[in-house]
Amino acid sequence: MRKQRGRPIMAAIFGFLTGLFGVITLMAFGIIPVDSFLVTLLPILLMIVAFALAMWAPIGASRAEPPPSPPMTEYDTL
Amino acid sequence: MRRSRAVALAGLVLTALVISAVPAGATVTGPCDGSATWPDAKPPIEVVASQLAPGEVVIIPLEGDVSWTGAIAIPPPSEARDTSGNVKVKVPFPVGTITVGTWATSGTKVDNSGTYEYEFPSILSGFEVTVTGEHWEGNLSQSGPPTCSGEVTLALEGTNPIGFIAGGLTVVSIMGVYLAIRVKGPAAGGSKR
Repeated sequence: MRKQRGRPIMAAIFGFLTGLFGVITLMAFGIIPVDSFLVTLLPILLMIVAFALAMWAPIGASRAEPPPSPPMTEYDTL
Repeated sequence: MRRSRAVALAGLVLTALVISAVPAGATVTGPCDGSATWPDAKPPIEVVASQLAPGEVVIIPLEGDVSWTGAIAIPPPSEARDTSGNVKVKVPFPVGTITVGTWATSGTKVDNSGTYEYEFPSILSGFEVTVTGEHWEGNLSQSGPPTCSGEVTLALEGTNPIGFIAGGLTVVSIMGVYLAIRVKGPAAGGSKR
């Protein structure tokens, strides 16, 4: 059976953007200083986490096996 | 169950990272001290580096005149001696620091003062910036351990509109991540390819 998964590349891009905009938000409200290591670390960390989650794809995975397709009806053409 | 534990663990790690990133505030080592006064601010602001509490962030006006002083607690020398130093602003890795000022002179002075006029754009308000300073006695080349060093965390007053825009974009990006980590195909309610 083929492994179900999400969209890893899209997840990595959105993970990076989440980290980038997240640290800008934290810096703009003075929660972290401009020289914080989080400014570099968080976008990369979230990119890796989102990529891994998309490979794992924990959301929307079906637990039950898909129902077997009905057997092809064979016709004798002769 | 295992999935909710993983999410909780990730949340704890992120919270610990944010807490550990809280600025350390002002520190001064060596026989030096400095002060800055904003007489036109309402109310007037006076900051003495050695008297700042750990973790304290100095909020300064976006523009104005600042009167500054700097001194080293040593007996005034009878002959001119070499001194040097620098002021730097810390920025994220991989840049590290940006040097905003240096000095290298010979003289007998053990203190200095002046007034500096500045103006920052409002787009920088709210950001916390760590400024460091180092001073050397006896050399012009800033070599060896400094005689004095200090560090202070500054923030420009006001609320930054960038924070709200970036906050909205963060929410949109989180939604993008959510859609991207869902399983492709009919199991997730998506389309068949």
